[in-house]
Amino acid sequence: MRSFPRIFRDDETLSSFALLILVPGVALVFSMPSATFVNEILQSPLSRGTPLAFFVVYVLSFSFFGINRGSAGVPLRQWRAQCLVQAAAHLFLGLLFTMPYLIYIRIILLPLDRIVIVWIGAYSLIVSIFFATIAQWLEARGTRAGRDSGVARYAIAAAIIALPMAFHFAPPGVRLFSLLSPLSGMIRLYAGASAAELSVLFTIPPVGVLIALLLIRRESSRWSHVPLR
Amino acid sequence: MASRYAPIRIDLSGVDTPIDGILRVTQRIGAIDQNPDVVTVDLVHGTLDNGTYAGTIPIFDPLNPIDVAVLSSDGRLIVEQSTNVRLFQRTARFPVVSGPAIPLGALEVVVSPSELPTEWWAYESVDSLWINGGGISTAAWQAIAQWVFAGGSIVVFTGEDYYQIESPAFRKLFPLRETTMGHFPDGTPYLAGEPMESIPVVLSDNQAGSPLLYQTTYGAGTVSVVSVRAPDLAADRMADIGARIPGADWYSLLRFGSEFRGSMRVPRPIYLIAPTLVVIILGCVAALRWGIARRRATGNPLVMGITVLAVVALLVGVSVWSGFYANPAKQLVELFQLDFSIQTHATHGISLGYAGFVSPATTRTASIPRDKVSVPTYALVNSTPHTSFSSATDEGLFQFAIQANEVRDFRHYGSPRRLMSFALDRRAMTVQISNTLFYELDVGFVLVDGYLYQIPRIPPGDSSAVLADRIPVRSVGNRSLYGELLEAIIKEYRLDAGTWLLAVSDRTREVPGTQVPIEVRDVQLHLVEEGDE
Repeated sequence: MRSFPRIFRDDETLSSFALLILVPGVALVFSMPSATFVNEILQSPLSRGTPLAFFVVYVLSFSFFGINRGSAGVPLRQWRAQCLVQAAAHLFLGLLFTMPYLIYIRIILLPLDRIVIVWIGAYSLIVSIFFATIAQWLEARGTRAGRDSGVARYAIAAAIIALPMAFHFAPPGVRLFSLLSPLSGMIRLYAGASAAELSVLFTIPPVGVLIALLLIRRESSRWSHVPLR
Repeated sequence: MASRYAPIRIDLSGVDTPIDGILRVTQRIGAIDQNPDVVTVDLVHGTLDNGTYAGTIPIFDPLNPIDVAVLSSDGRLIVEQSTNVRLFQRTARFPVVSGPAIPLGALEVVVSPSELPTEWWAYESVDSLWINGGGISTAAWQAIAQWVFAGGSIVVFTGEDYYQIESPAFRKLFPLRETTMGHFPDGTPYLAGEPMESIPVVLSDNQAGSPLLYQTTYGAGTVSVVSVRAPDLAADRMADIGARIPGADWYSLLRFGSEFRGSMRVPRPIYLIAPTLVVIILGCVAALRWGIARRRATGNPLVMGITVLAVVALLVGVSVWSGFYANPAKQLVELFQLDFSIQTHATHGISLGYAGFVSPATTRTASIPRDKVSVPTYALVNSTPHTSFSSATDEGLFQFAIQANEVRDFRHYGSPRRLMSFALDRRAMTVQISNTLFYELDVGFVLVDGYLYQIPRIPPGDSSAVLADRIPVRSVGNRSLYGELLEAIIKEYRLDAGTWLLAVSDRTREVPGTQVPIEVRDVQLHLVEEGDE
């Protein structure tokens, strides 16, 4: 638990937590119906409100929170396994802080007896862990090369989120690749993913994490004076 | 006709021993080779034997064949026959002749009196019904009278055939009393009699000026009585009569149904909950940071421990509070349903039903109870383009899939039992009301001589009320949507010609026992004719 007291040591960390809380909080408002009468729903479909608005913003916020927290843990001179632990602790704490949103949505906006909210929470967490490890690898690589990895981190994240969405327009057999995007994954989860889709959704991020860990390990071995511990 | 009701008659033969099974009619909507939507209607659930089975079904897509199948009670197909109805489909209402053919033009359909349907909505595609001769059953007469009340148009040839035609169910529609048989100068026998009050003669015999065609109204419909038999009429006189027969004109509940559906209130949580949650959670973060800072400054872990415990307690508390906050009045409704009906408690009572559905968020399965009503059909032709439609009816429910952000409007009809009656004491201006509906009606109006007298509420059982303040019918429409509805219905069904009680019930309820949060608004307008019968 050495990492715990470090969580709120700096303002940057505090800001990223504040953003993680604030942005989905705003999205929560847009998830509620604004219509007072059914006629308004028919005239303006946006006024009907949908929890999907919250879930999309939630997974995006968590993804960028993962990138932010993943890179924040990497020290200037060396990389340690503890960096990953600290990032994971931040992400779990982020989930804890946003738990009231999920519970509120489950009870009020998704009153059906579904476990979809559990899938959504778990999926957001593993996606953020994936982004955190990717960010850590890029940060470690950038640190070794002596250059800022900020642009690369966010560009890669944006590509991972956006590019697979193009498969939505592909023939049905290939359309499954759109699940590579967390955005598509969240939309499918909300719509009621099949067992096959669920297994794909919960396999891709851990595989991504493993690949990122291998990349980190390789990167770490290049830091000749500091081996991976 | 597409999206109209039609009678169906199935002759079953070759059954050795009666079987427990299902008689099912299947229709397909859309192109057959492009995964059409399937609608099934089960006409019979029970014992099937040799004989004729009749019913009324909505026609969804007459371009496709209609399949009739006999299934065992466990759903196993026993026999199936496909019928091509494409050749018989019409695009507009058409005249129907009961009895020997009458030359009306190229469009009329001639049926035998025994084939006339006994459910009034089966006549929905009929423009005018020409009764040429007797042989009509009492049940068919009852259905015809109901159809006329709903807006149908019948033409009855009498003359020497009158005594074959006369039926108790027809008596109330008939415009003459003290009937006798007269003869035109050429010897043609004709039915004479004393017209009821203000019944116009719209056509007279050329030679003697004797009445040839009487015309009166009944409810929203028209009754035309020709004083001679059809074979006794020359072609030009038949054409004269044909030119004076109005077409059927049914009243549509669509306008008021849409308005009642649109004015359903959307339950929702207050927006304040979101910023409140944000502030509380941010407060938790700030508290944690303060606790950690204190620990670093003082080296005492107690303050931080207490802070962590307080934060955890607060987060748990907020979550629990969300649970307490949840109740049906604030939950997101996933399906809005309006059931709007007009029930007529009269000699030839009818019920008109409208069911409107809106699914704001996700695809849902909705259903309409079939309890003593017809199988529902679309209120709007093509109201549901580009959506999949699957529905099935069993004995109790008509079910269908409704897509996200979709609107479905259905209409259905029925023949209600007379569950309300009232008697008016004109001298004391009081009414005695018998309400066996088993629920209270929110408001009632007694219509007397063109004025409406308001009654605050009508409880179940027997009650009485004094008629005091009156409102002219023409001004009630300015008051509210209910007022507009009352004014429109009084005008459409010409209720101001008699004495009626009009009562409204408007309830909104959550459907219990369903996982999908459904909000149902049930608006009922009861039209009660004066008298006990």
